[in-house]
Amino acid sequence: MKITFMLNDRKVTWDALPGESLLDFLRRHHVVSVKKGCDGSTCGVCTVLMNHKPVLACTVLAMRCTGEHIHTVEGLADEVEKISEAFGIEGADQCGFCNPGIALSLYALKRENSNAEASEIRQYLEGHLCRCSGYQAQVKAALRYIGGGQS
Amino acid sequence: MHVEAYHKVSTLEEAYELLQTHDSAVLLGGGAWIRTGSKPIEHLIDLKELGLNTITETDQSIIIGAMVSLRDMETHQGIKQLGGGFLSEALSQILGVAFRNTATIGGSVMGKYSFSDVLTPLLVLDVSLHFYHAKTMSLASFLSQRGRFRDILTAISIDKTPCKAMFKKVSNTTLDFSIVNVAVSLVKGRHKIAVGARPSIAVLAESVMRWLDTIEKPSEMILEEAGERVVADIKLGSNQRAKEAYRQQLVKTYVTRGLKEVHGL
Amino acid sequence: MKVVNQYVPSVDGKGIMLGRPAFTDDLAEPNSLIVKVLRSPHAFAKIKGIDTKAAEALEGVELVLTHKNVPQKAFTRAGQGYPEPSPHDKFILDRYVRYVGDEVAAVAAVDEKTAEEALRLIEVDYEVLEPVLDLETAIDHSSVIHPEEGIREMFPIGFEPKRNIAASYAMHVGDVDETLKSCDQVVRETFYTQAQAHAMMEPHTVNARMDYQNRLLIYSSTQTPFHVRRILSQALDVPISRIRVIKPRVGGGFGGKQALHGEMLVALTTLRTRKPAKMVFSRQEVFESSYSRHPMRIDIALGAMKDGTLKAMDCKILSDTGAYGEHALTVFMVAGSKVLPLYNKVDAVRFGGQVVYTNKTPAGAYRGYGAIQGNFALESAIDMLCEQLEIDPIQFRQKNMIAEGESSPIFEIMGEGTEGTAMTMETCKLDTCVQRGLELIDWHNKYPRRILPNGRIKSVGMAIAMQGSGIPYIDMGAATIKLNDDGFYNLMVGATDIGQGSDTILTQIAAEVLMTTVDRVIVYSSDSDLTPFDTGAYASSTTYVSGNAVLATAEKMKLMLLEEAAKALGCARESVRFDGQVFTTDSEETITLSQLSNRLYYNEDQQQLTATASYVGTKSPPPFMAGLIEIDLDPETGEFDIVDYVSVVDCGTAINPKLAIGQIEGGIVQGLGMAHFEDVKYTKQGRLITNDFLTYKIPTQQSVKNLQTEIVHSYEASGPFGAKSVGEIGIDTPPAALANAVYHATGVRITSLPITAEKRMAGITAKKGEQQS
Ligand SMILES: Cc1cc2nc3c(=O)[nH]c(=O)nc-3n(C[C@H](O)[C@H](O)[C@H](O)COP(=O)(O)OP(=O)(O)OC[C@H]3O[C@@H](n4cnc5c(N)ncnc54)[C@H](O)[C@@H]3O)c2cc1C
Ligand code: FES
Ligand code: FES
Repeated sequence: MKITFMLNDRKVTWDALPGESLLDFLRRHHVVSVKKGCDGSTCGVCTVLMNHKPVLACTVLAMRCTGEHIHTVEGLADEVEKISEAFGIEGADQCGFCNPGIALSLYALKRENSNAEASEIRQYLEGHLCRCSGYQAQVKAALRYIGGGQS
Repeated sequence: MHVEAYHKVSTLEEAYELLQTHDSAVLLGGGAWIRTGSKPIEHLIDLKELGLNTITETDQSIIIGAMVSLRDMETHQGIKQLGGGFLSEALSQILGVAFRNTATIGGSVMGKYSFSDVLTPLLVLDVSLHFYHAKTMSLASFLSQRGRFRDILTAISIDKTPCKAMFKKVSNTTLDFSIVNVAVSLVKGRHKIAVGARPSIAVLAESVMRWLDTIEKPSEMILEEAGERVVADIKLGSNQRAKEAYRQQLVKTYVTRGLKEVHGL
Repeated sequence: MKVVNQYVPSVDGKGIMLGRPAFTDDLAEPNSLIVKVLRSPHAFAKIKGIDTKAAEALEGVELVLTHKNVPQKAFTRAGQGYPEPSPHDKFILDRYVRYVGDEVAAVAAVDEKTAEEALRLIEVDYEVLEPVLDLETAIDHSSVIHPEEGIREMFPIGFEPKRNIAASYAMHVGDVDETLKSCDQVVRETFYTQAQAHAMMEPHTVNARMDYQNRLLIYSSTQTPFHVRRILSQALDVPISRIRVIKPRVGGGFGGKQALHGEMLVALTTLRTRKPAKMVFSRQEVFESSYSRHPMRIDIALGAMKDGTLKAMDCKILSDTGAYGEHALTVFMVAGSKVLPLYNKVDAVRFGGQVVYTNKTPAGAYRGYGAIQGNFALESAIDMLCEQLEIDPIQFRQKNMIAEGESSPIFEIMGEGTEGTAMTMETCKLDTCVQRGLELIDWHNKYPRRILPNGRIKSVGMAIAMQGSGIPYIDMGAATIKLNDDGFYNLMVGATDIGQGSDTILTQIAAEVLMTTVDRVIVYSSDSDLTPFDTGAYASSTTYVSGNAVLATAEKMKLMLLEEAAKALGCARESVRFDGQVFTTDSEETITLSQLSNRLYYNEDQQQLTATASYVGTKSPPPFMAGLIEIDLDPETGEFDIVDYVSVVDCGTAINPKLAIGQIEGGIVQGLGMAHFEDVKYTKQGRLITNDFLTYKIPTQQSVKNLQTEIVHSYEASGPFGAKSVGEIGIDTPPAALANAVYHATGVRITSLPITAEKRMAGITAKKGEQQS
């Protein structure tokens, strides 16, 4: 079935299967920034923005996206670059498999709460598992990004 | 997930009709739980376009549409006021923000999950469920019903009478199911105590609640006794997450602490 | 130093965050066949019959593989030095299945749905056998897990398959029994550790295609691309020259990708069908059917004199390698060789035991590689001994632990499945680590516990640890640097960046030597056709071994440049200075690197400048650390918060301090997961219950409130710019430090991991009972 939605501010009409997750759907259409870590709502690496709110692409059905705005890191490059600068400064990058998802959540958090503190960041990012970093550097990077580049 | 037919309905009648005609039809809330199943779904009925995703407030109650996400509920100002914010607190401990932006209150109630962190706090409030067909029913009586319940939940309403309340989820990480959870409330001198993930579904500790209601200004000792009575009163069990003995210890401790908190002790 | 030991952001972080195709599955051919595996529902069974007709007949199915139509040649999946110290006990597909999740058959189909449907159509007739599920009864069990012919050890490792023994080992120094007898105090305890899951975020992923030269091209999320190429060639009987393995960006490994997982089946599919094929493990497959940490039972005895002199250590281990013997011996040995030398002044030490087969998910390499298991036992037992001696555990450690300039006979005796290499600790700042750790956590005001007004208890605990830096005379790294026009460089390394940042630090090393900036050195890893050989990312070898190779290569390139500059400037090499950009002669004539490069490629003396060098270690200088934890425990529920974890580490001079701290902190949090809730549960029939992130919990953002991590000043002369390794050591201390802190808080000594809240509460309740009676 064809569905029409806004992907990174551009209208697209793509073929979706009735039970297909947004994750499989996007990857099948070569949007590979969205990763699959568990396919079971438990790791956060598949996070995308739906109408500017983070959702798990493995959990949402592709069919549900008709008429909605979906953003991935490809579509928010300016903001993601800022986040990535902050990650670089704090040494928060490791394997990076979790990073596109985290970047989207951080962007959403900043829009929701531009004064978020460490504890609020930890809570907001809680759904993003990261097996590499130990999280602390990510929190420092998040503070830096939310603080507009300052730590 | 394998779905044969996906139905986007625009009225409740249409949805209900489909639900009754196809024995295998499944209503789609957020779909998070449905996706964990491995059985192919013949008919999936999407409730998204029915306008069930709003929260409204009256003088007496807050009415939450069945398609409201757990996250919208958690961050709603009115809900943050309930019982000192204990319900928002409970919701905030279910997986991550992105998950809660998808999972709905309708799916969370209708699933009757034994591990639920939603039902336990709701049980200590005054909650009614509104169905398309069966009309209105209290949460407690819905939970005690057995068998398949083929109706559409349209909204839940929560009485706003000010109360003091507390919720505790015991788990290894916040992304974890509860090992056990406890909610306690005090409304105009009346107590409610609910225990969930026992590991079976949440229940009220009715006899202990009634006993406490008869005692004026319960002392710390009484509240400690109440914790023990709850353990004796409701059934706790073992599963791979914890043994019964540990659940007993947790329930005793947190019921007492919850009661002390709502009594300001 | 301008680039090394400086803040430099990772060279690839931005592109990855921006979502550029980088990981294995991002690079799969869009029309790849999907390979899926039929997995055993039984812990142990013999396949009496297997009928694949219906599956083969299904439209869209291209290939069905069973033991009947794949090469039957035993191999090991372990990516290790060759010949491997692991038994060759695995067949691509076999007539026996040895754990729930073991491979029965594989299907390649046009899409996922068809592949799944085909799996359902395969009929298997099993003869279900009695499984061996308990490591303590595995030896000489009536069920023999590997009764088949054709399996073997490559050199003596104590392999006795008929007894369910994959490997065994014994060593001693001095007379342990006599020494223990002469001690004033002896502690004996048995410890258990669990089969922790790696839980890297990127599942095991592989894809293959035939390239336009008709060669097999494999993309694999592996830590060891060169081992993958060799093992594929051997097991599939394909000339190694016909195989190319590319390791793209890898989304975490931790040892779990130091082996072949889907590579065999995907390679076979492509070889047989000539079509591109791919396989991505489901999360359940990652848990059930890849690797886990070797669970161990560790019996330890320590003996000391009243004055606090440690005299003897006796350590007997039973390790569980699961269904296959990958890394069986070497992980086992590290539980001794990278643990016991911490206390090097003893008169006698004994270490030995067996590694047994069971019908469980195979164990393999996992960060720490035995050291975390051994450390939990030893560092718990040291605290127990101190309690008996009524001696402060810090003072005891300070008196007995290894120090700079010292050695241990164990280094010479125990190596990678064979003999080791004698070495003296040229750098060992363990004393500083302990001292600084005590300050950072404010030990003296917090030890052992404080009871708060609300009844909660705050306590501290600590442990020390060591690891290695590669395997001497085995781990080899090489690098190639190529000069380009305009004077920027390519750095080609076989070393595998799996997220630990090796591409960045190797770039830094090259840039430092060549006196340039990291953006002028373009790193590429790893591609078996293009990059030089490297044994892979394991054994904490990359910084030290591959780093030394890069250092030597860059030095070579610098000499070449000077040579060419001298020619261009018409003088002797000795009279040319180079600052990274400009060559200057004694008579102040100059040519820039850019000019020189353009001259070399376009104008005169045209030639390509390329330097290659290799490095193989002659020792393995250990990093050291002190780990200290503060917990805040609720004695009525056993729950606690981890308030603080202090790590002070001697890893030599860190090439990139921020990335090094990231390695340490990542290790600490992983170690804490193992220490207190990463629990592995099986059903009585041997099915893994904890096979997803719902049932197997790993630490989250909120699991640890604060980490304080410091690197002490240290310079290891044999390392590149003074560096030692840092990739593994972080994981070693949390279990023992936590066990010790829980003991300080509650008086309950927990000897089996994980130290869950439920266990803590049970201990507290039992203790209360004792006190009352
Ligand atoms: C991985 C995972 C972890 C979880 N962890 C927790 C946890 O720790 N604590 C916790 O409390 N919960 C947890 N949950 C449950 C979660 O919070 C939701 O309750 C659950 O996902 C159901 O919500 P949904 O909107 O996704 O419902 P769906 O999956 O859409 O539906 C669930 C069921 O309800 C039915 N249904 C949905 N809406 C209606 C309606 N309006 N009328 C009638 N029937 C309806 C569906 O047909 C289906 O049978 C978890 C869920 C998952 C998938
Ligand atoms: S892949 Fe969606 S949460 Fe893990
Ligand atoms: S950086 Fe590897 S999972 Fe987060």
